[in-house]
Amino acid sequence: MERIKFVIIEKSYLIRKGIASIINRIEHATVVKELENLDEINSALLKYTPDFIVVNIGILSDIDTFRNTEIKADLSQTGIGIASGNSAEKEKKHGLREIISTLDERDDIYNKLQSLIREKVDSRHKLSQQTELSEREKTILKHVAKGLTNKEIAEKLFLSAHTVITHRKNITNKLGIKTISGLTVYAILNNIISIGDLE
Amino acid sequence: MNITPDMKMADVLFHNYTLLPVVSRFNIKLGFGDKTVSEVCRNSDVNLDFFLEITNSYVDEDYIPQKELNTFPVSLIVQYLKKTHQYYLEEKIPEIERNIQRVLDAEKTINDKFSLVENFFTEYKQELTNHINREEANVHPYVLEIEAAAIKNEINKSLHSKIRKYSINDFASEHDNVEEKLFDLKNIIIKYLPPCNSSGLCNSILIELFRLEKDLNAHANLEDKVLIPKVAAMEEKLLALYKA
Repeated sequence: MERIKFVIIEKSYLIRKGIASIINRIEHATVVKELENLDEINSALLKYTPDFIVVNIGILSDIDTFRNTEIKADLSQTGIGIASGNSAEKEKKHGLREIISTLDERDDIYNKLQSLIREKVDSRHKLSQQTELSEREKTILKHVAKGLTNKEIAEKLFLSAHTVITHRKNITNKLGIKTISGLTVYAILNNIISIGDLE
Repeated sequence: MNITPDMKMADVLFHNYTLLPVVSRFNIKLGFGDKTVSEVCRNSDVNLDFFLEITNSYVDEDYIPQKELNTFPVSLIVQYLKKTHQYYLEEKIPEIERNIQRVLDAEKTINDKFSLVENFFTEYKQELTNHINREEANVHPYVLEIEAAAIKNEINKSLHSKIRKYSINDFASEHDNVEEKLFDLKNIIIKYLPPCNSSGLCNSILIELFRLEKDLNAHANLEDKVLIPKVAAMEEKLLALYKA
């Protein structure tokens, strides 16, 4: 199973490396990117599609850079705040999912992180048990391999383009193959389509 | 551990063997004895600071480029990027192709299945070649022209309309990831091909694919994090100059 991905945004080198090494020790979890500030947040999120974002509460208040409201809304699900020192800040949630204080005991930190990771892993498991393509998905894959566009497939199968896109996303998630050529190879290997069909 | 001028070049490679092709790209040959990084660079006529930035960011993805990186001429970066392109097209790709051919020769029973991998890889090679040709034919001359104008601090009408028509940020947004296909290929070989008896050959294909992927990522990072911001800043300066 793909691991649960974390991005850390924290100015302090010591804290950043500390939290990263803790996360990397937890089963199924991995830190994919460490950032010092919010500058590269948008591109990092696009590139790494993290499951959780660990962010210093201090930076968070730098609200202007967080103008992207989508990210903000996401943070209530994906955000883990780092509250430093003895501030009362750790009592508030700051619109985030969880808060870790630099004064937290070892077990507290592990428990908080582990329960978030566990939850994610469980929901992934439910999804990943279905790696077999459904009949519908096989049909769509066949047309994709033949080189039809989403719109053409939609017309052929009397579906909306949106539905076709959803099916395609599911196919890619199940197989871990993104490109059309890759999907075509898969379809031939699994006799969903024959080489003759491609002519 | 960062690579520093006083380290012995041999030690650098003992610790990070993945740097071997990178070092070759600088035309640095093996047989260093106990020479330090700075001595080897001096002897081989290589810009030491540039060498350090490239190697450090190659081994450590989190390495933050020093400010000096911005003082390197664009031409030096372009020269390095070209060398890297050459390495892909003249060494890495043919090497993988040869191994694919060997598997095809050895595995008669799954030959038809494995030839799909061959086709897939040929397609990938074409895509990568196009990508590289486009960069060398359009992007590199363009950035060199921008640099020359920025140094002279003057901009003429034709360059102005060029920037307006196609700026470096357009290149950045078109900068398609050639890694996607590579990822799929690894996935297909590891998960979906029928079991292959020539496991040694299959493994070396996979290892080469993983290495190529790492190298392409470092290459893209150099373009995205260093070249593009640098050129974008020059464009901005030139446009402001034109207005004035």
